[in-house]
Amino acid sequence: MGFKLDYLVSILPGLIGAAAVNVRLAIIIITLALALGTALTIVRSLKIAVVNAFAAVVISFVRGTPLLIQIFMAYYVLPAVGLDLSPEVAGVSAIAFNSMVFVSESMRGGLATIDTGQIEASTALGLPPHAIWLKVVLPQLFRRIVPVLINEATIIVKGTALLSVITVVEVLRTAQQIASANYRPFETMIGSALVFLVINLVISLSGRVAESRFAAARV
Amino acid sequence: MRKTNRTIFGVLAGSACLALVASQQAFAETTLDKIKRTGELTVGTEAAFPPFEFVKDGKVVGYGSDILAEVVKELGVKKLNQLDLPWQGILPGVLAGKFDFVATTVGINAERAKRYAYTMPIADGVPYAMKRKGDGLTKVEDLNGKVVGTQLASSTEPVARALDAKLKAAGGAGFKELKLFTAFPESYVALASGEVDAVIQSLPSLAALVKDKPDVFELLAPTPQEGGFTYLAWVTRPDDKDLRDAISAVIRKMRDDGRLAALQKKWFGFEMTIPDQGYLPPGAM
Repeated sequence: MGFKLDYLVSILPGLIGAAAVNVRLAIIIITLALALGTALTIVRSLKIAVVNAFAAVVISFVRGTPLLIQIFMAYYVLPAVGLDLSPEVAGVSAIAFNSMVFVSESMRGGLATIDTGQIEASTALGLPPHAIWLKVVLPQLFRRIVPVLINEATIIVKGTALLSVITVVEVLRTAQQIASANYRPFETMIGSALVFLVINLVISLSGRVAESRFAAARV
Repeated sequence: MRKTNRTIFGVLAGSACLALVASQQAFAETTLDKIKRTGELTVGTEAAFPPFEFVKDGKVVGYGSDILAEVVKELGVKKLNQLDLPWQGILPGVLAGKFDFVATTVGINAERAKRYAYTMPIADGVPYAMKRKGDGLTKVEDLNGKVVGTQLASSTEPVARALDAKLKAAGGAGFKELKLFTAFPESYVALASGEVDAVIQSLPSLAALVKDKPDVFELLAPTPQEGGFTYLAWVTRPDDKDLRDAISAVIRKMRDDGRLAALQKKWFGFEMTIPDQGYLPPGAM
């Protein structure tokens, strides 16, 4: 019952196949989290008291409760208020909602680093607000928070493993299935860890490339 | 700050109202009616529980899956969705309406029988202790001072606790420790590696494992609870008794024409007696 490397190698193809589920969901979640996080940042910058008070409540909830509980709530509690979501939709919504908050918070931090003189100049030139956001603020903002976004992307990838508890059969659940049929949990756990590690290394490396390009563009 | 409080209150009040409205809606159609009308069935399974349900070549197979195939045929189901989730989510999931019924064996005990409707049993799951081969344990009393493992929130967890209490009552030391695992395979590995000295689990699962790895594991002895119920069945929501009866009818038919015994031979290597009654605690649904 000791560790067997050849067994680990034999199960990797199955785990890599299951990783397609994690990668697909992670891409959808990252896209949603970026879009929603940006929208939330813009809405919060308008400084409407009621809206910001509500946002503050949502943010403290998302920051203060475990992601696993948020996933459970999306799947088991929302049906009670008439929202019966499929496992994948519930999982994607929960993680995207969670990430939206963290993306928005890091963008808010980044906003302070943008020179107010630029905004004043754009306003003086008569640029409409949406143009100021799209052409002046956001491009600089995204460049500055690339490291944070890359970090958030790796958190999202790891978060997709949690969806195994709401019937999404992904890498972790596939590993558990293989382990139970062959009574060998060690190799399957190590195998699933390797799969996640490889996905996140790819993300980290692409982040490095993006950062160095932006650095070159600034020179 | 006052504004924030008012917002929180508004959100809470709003969601409470919504929940109330949603729960007040009476659905005239039963789950069985819905299955027959749509031809679609969704079941919850723990597909990591050999030989009942496990994944082989990307498909859920096992003793339970074979029975499910017959139930699907009898109910005229055209599309079967078999969801797979860890054991701890199975019972909450059926109550939340995430699947029509639980098609993975649920050990019968008094606590659960109050909350779920059990079908006719598909197996006899008398709890057994399993040990490492050649470790010198010969009887239940030898578990005094030993580390025992079982699955968290399984029907054998209370059985293990009762055995510990019984050993102590008889003047023994009781277990050195009761280790709980999220899934049984982890407990089997812990047993093989010496992390635990025995695993308590129902006999059919252990029999399959001992057959598979006779050089590693050996059965020690049965560990039934006083007045305990040992049968394994599927469950439906308490208000789905018509669905429960429909499933039970299929199981009874399979038992009477020998199909069930043939499946037991195929998956466990021995046949079991499945009773018509007396398998449920008094006052069960």
